Amino acid sequence: MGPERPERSARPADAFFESMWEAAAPATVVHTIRLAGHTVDLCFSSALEPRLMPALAHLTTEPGKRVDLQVRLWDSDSTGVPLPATPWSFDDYPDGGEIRGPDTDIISIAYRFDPGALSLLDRASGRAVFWIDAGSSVPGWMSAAPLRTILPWFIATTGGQFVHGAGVGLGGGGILIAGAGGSGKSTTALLCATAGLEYLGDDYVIVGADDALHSAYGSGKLDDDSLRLMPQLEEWIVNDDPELSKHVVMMSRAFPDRVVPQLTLHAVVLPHVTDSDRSRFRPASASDSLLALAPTTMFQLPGAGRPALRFMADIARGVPTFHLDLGPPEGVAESVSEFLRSGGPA
Amino acid sequence: MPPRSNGWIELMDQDQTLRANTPTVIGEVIDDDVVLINFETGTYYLLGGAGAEIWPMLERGASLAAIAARLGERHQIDNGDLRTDLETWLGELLSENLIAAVDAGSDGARRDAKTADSPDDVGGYAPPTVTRFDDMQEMLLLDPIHDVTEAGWPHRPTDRR
Repeated sequence: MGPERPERSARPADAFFESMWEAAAPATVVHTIRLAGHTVDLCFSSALEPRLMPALAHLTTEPGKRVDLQVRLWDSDSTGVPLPATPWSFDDYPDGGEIRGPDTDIISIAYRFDPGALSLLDRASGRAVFWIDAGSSVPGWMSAAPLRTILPWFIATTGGQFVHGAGVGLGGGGILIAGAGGSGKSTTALLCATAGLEYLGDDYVIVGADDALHSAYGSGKLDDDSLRLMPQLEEWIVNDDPELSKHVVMMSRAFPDRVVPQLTLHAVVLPHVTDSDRSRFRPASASDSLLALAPTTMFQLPGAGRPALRFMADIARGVPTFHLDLGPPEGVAESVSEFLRSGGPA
Repeated sequence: MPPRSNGWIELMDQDQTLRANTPTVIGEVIDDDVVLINFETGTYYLLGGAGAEIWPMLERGASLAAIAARLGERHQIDNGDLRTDLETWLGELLSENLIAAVDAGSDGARRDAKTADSPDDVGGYAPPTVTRFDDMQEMLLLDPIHDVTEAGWPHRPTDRR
């Protein structure tokens, strides 16, 4: 069943959305993906498709009769269509990205200042528009996690939540690896994937209304130190994220049979880099879990307010959480495998 | 970090209503703690001790005197000791802009301590604590708009290319 759609009324935001939707008409390269159980049609301009589709390609499915969300992704440079006039003033841009004034319960509009990308979602019609001035303006982080504003908005309408974290699993059962940058989250996830575990993503994953863990992006990020641990990933580097000094790896190409769309969520795991002689799990509190999940998610996703905090608090209360004190890298995947096999810390 | 008082609370009428600085600040009580997020600063906090008991009162609006009376009644402890703890702790929350003094006629004040509520299932009293985390500030401020100019928006300004 698709998301419930509210009724819309005539407001300036509606008119602007329609002008953006029409301006995006040249976006005609169509792909259909299945995102957390929902069918999403993506219509790209020719310049954006090669830059924004690869990280979503592992979710590709056959076109469906019912489409829950239709997104047009376009750029002015390759289409020759300028951005329509905006109905808001320069005072309406807050730091968080969502634009004050035209943003309503029905239509959300956000502007990402760097690299200059506009995202709109019309919840009433199940349509969305993404705009950037040119394909060459798409930065590495955006190629690794495209539509990082629109898709979280949409998933929220389905009762799910994008979460800043990684997901790996074994036999369909998985863990959500959470923590701020530098905690070892990405390296842990990529070490597990290269060792043969199932992989959902290393940056953002979705906790669905079904409480399952769903994949959003088939990419991974690693720095030079991590690349030295996993040299087999070098040939799959597709881009760089200079802001974080990380390489973007398309894991869905490197390990197409290991990147899975969904896992049953068994535990939240909070990694920490330590000098321990081996990796160890130990119980964590619900507040540890929420501290690891919520701030890093909410500060990065426009519009993630109290409902998002409550959603993640429910995860923290309901899903067992463990600290993972990371030992030498070569033993990390085996420790995670053993944890997943035995259903808890050894 | 050690609690500190900025002197606000000592100078303030203890019947002054204080209220959580929502929606800039939102919080969630989880187990015996509260996780607070300040969207304006990119800082987040963990309130411990009696903080989980007091925060719901502050979300509705409550004065120091009312909070002390409520806690004293629940935990059967000396009001003077409570006030000392609360002055320090509320001073910290004020200095971090997590709460604010509100006017007597405001929405916050109308929901003052007489109707303020907090979890019924409370354990023994422990002085409220606040732990501050600022490791996310840089992330929040990565995408500033302060230098947007009419010539530059919505296209990236030349100095950012």
